Amino acid sequence: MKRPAATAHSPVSDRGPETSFVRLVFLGAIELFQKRISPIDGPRCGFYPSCSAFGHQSVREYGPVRGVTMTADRLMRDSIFLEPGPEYTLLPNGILFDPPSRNLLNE
Amino acid sequence: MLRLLIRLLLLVAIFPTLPAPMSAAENVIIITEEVQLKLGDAFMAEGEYYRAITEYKKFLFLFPDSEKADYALFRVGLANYRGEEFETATHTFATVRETYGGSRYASSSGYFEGLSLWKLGRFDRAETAFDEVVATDPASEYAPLALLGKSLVSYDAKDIPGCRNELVRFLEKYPQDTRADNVRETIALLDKNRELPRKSPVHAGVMSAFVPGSGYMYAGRYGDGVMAFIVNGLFIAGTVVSIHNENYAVAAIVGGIGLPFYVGNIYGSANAATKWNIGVRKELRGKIAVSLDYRF
Repeated sequence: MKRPAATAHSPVSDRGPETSFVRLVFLGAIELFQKRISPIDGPRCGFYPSCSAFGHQSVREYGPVRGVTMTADRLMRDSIFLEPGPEYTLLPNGILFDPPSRNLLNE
Repeated sequence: MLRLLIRLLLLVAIFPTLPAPMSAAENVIIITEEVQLKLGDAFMAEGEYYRAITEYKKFLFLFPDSEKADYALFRVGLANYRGEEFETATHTFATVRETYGGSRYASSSGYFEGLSLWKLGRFDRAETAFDEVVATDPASEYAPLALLGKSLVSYDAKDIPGCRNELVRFLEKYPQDTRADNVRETIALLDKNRELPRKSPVHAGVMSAFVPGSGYMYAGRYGDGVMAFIVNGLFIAGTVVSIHNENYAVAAIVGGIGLPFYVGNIYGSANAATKWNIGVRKELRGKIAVSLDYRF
């Protein structure tokens, strides 16, 4: 809705601090990749959100087991065979929209 | 005395430089009901829904007993609906119906309340809202639309027979409606697609458990299937060869890294089948919407 600009910024997430150790390990590893490794060769993922962002979001929201499983599936799909189809929304910048919420086995 | 005289002279001297007062009538803005509503309508027409709501609410504050209060409140709901604030829209339309039961905006409010609830994914309540429009004011222009809306809500709730029943009900109630031919076409389309083709997510998962990637292929994702086969094949081969060479540490590392990809391949295959089913249903949904020529 068109409205005046918000005066106060709302927090990105209202969750409390992360306490699960396993989850923290996976999130830390993904953040390390995002900050130290990924910038070396720049953005290469054919999807939005990128595979690391997808992994981070999946682990944070669905736990380490399901999150890692979803991320492994995503990494296999992000290949030379990647093409638009009814499963993905093609974004104006030519990459495909594929958030974790569309990979939950829900019909 | 002299000082007073000088002051008077000074006053007379600066008088012509003062701005000339405008006539009182030019400065007065009279806010009438019509002006206030037009302000809201103007913002609404420009797509400035937030400002439109402000103006309509101002109208309700200034003229609470106006005959047009029902219109203003309905427009508040409509602005919220168009601005995709469906929760607020739902409450506002419900208030219009409850406060102004006999109003000419009662059935349109009921209809838009149904649409808002539909957008919120509350299919049961949306169906009830549409039913109420048909029951309370069957002669209203919104009653046939409510029936069409209800049929699509049933479809979205995966109740294809229910969708068809609502269309049949439409033809029974409004055989002379201009959309009757479209509805007949849609019923024929639904009859042709009574059993939608389906891929079983369980089958896809089991297939990929035995032959990695085969489940993706079953779901029509051939490229993903080839990739899953290669990735898992390499990890499995690496693990087996390491065990064969008694390099158990290497086998544990390779197997440990490969395991999520193997599970991911099963999960992804089931997911691909699920997406295939969603795609089939969406395609028919698109055809139904086109066939009904239903826009909202």
